Amino acid sequence: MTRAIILFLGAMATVLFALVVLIILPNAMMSQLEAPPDLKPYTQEELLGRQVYIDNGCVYCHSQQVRDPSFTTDVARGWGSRPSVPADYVFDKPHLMGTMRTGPDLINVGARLPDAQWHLLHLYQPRALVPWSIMPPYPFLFEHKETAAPDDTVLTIPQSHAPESGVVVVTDEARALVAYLLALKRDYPVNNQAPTQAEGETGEGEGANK
Amino acid sequence: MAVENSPASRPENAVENATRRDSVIDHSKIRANVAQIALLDRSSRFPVLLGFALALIWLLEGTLLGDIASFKFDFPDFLGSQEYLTFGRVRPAHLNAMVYGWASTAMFAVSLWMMPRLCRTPLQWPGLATGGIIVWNIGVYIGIILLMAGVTDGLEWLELDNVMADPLLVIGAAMVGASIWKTLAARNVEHLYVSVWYVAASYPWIAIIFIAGNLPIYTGSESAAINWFYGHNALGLWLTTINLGLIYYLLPKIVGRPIYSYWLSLIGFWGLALFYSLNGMHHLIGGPIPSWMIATSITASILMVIPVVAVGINQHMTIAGRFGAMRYSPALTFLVLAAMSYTAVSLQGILTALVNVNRVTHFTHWTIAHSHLGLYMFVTLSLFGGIYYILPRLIGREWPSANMIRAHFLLVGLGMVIYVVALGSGGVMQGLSMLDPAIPFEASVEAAKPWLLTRSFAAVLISIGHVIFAAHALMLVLRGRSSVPEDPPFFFVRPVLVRNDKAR
Amino acid sequence: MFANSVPVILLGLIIGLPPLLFLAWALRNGQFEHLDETSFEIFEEEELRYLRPWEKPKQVSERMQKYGKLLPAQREGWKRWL
Repeated sequence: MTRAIILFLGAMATVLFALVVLIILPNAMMSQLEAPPDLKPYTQEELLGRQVYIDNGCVYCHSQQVRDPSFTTDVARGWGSRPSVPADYVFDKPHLMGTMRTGPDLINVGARLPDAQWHLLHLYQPRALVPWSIMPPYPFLFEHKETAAPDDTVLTIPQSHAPESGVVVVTDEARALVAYLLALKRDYPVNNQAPTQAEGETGEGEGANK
Repeated sequence: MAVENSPASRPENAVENATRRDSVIDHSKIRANVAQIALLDRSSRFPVLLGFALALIWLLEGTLLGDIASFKFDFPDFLGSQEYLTFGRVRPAHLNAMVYGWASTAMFAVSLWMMPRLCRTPLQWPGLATGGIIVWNIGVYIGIILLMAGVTDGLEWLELDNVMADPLLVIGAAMVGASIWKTLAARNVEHLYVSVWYVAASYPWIAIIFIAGNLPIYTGSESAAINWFYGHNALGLWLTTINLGLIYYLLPKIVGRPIYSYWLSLIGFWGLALFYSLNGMHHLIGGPIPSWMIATSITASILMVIPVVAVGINQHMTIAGRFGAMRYSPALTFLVLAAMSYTAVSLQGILTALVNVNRVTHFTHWTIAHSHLGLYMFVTLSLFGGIYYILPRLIGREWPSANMIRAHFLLVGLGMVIYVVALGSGGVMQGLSMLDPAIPFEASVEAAKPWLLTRSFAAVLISIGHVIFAAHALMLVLRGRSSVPEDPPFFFVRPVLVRNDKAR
Repeated sequence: MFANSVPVILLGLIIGLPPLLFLAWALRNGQFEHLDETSFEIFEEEELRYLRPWEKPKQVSERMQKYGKLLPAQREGWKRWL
C-alpha cells in the first residue's frame, strides 16, 4: 500500500461496517421492545441495591441469563422456568448478564430464594449458610456496633461466625441490595413461550437464542 | 521531508532523497544506514522510555492485584473485611491495570519507536506523544482508584468511570495517535511496510470502539451487545494489531530474512479487519440476543481461520530452519513464543465459538485460561520481546545479566504454561459438572478448587519473574550511557546480545 | 424469513459494493505492486550480510549468494543466553 488514505478509509470502513451490523441495526430493531406486562420497573430501593451489586462486582462471579433447554440444562437445573428473552432486560441499564458462573445464575434468585433474612446472612458471611462456598464475605455492608440502637435491625448470626462481642446491624445498603436480589424474578410467561417448554426461534425480533 | 538539520544536498542525504515517495530507484537497493536509524531512535527516545517506565510500574501493580484476586479464590476470607480489596473490585482493577496500564502504555511506546523507523522520518510532534502518554496514565490511575472505591461503569472491560477517567483516556490516546499519523504523513518511503498498517490503523480503531462502548445510552440486550462488541474488538483491533505489527518488524529483522510472503501479510491484515470486528457476540452464545447476531459472530469467528493461518504461515516460514536463532536473542525467543501463542489462542478461540464446545466452556474458568493465553502469552510476551530489543538501543548499553533474563523467561514461561493448562482443565471440569442437572452446583465449585490453587501457585512464579524483569530494566537504565563511541553505533544494529564478559 | 427481505438485500449491496469497487480501483492503481521489495525496507545497510552463528552452511552460502560477501562479527560477538 502506498496511500495512507487507503489504510485509513479501509480501517474505518471495516469497523463501521461491524458497528452497523452488530449495534446500530439491532438497536433500531430492538427499540420497539416493550416491557412485558408482568415486569415492573425497579423501585428506588431496588435501583440503589442494583448499584451496590454493580459497585461490588457481583457480575464477575454471577450471571443473569437462562439459556434455552435445547442448548443446555439451565432450566433443568432450576435457574429459571423458561429461557431469558431480551424483553426481560428492558429496565437493566447497564446489563448484568455476566460471563462467569463461579456462583449460580441469579436472574430468578428472587423466586428461588425469597427469604430476605437468608440473603442478609449470606452476604455477611456466605459460609455461615453454604459451607463449600468460595464467595467473598461483605461485612462492610453491615455495621458492627456495641449495642443496637432502638430502630436498628440486628442480624441473627450463628455462633460460629458471629463476632466476639457486640451486634451486627443491617445498613440501608444491605437492605437495598437484598431488595434488588428479591426483585430478580423473570418467571412470567412471554410471547409464545410457555414456562418450562422449549421453544425455538419462531419469528423475527425477540425469540430466545437457539 | 528530510531528516532534521540536514540540507537536502549533502551526500549522506542521498538515502533520504532516494526514498522519497516519487523516487524511481528500486526499493531493494535502498537501505537506511546505521547512523540514520540511530537518529530516528533518538527522535522518539523520551516518550518511548517514559512509556516503558510507566508500563513496568503498572505491570508490577497489576501483578499484585492479580495475585490478591487469585488467592481469594483459594481463601475466600483473605482480606475479606477490606472493602477496597473485595474480589469484585480487585478483579476488574487487575484487568484494567494490565490492559490499559501495562499493555496499552507499552504499546504506545513500541508504536512510537517503530513509526519513525518504518517511515524513515523523525517522530513528529514528540511532545504531543509524551503528553498523551501522561494524560492516558493519569486517566487509568484515576479510574482504578475509583474502581477500588466502588465507582464503576459496570461493564466488563469498560469499568473505568465515564466522567472522571474515560475522557482522559480518549484524549491521551488521541494525542499519541495524532503523533503517529503525523509521522506517517511525513514519511520518506513510498511503500508502507505491513507493520505500518497494523500500528496506524489501531489508533482510529481503539478510539471508535472505546467511545462507542462507553456511551451511556444502551439498555438490556443492546447494552450486552455493545459491551462485547467493544470487549472483543479491544482485543483484536488494539491489543492484537500493535503486537502483530511489532512481531512483523522484529522477527524478520533479527533472523535476517525478509517476511516470507507479502501477499499473506495483506490477507492477514484485511482479513482481520473485516472478520474480527463481527466476532463480539460469541461472548453471548446462548444469551438473550437475537440469534442472527450470534450466528453472524460464530460465522465471523470461523472465518478468522483465514487471517490467523495466513499470519501463522507467514511468520513460521520466515523463521523455519532458523529456530536456533532464539538461543542467541532473548528478544526473538519472546517474540516467537508470542507469535505461536497468537495462532494457538486464535484457533482455540475459534473452537470455543462453536456451539458444542461453548456448551461446556461458557461461564467457566476456561474463559480466563483462554484470555490469559491471549493477553499474556501473546500480548505480554511480545511486549517483553520488544523491550528486550528496544531498551538497549535507547540506553546505549547491553542488558547486564544473562542470568536475570534466563530467570525471567523460565519463571514466566513455566508459570504461564501451568496457569493455562491448569485453569483450562479446571474450567472444563467445572463446565461438564454444570451440564448435568442431577449434579448439584456444589460439585462444579469443588471440581475447580485444586485447579484454582494451582493457578495461584503459577501466579506466584509469574510475579517473581516480573519483579526480576523490572529490577533488571532498572539496572540497565541506571548504568547510564556507556563510553562506547557513537560513530558508528554498529553494536546497536545487531539484535540484543547478552554478554558473558564483564561490562565495559 | 429475515434474510431474504428486500431491505436487507439492498443494505448488503450498499455496504458490500463500494468496498469491492474500491478494491478493484486499488488493484488498478498499483497499490499491490513492488510487494517483495517492500519487505526489505526493514533492514539497514549491510544488515543482511552479517554472519549469523546459528545458520547452517547451506543457509550461510545462500545468504552469501543473495547479498554478497558476509561480514564477520565485530566488536560484540554473538553469545548464547539460553
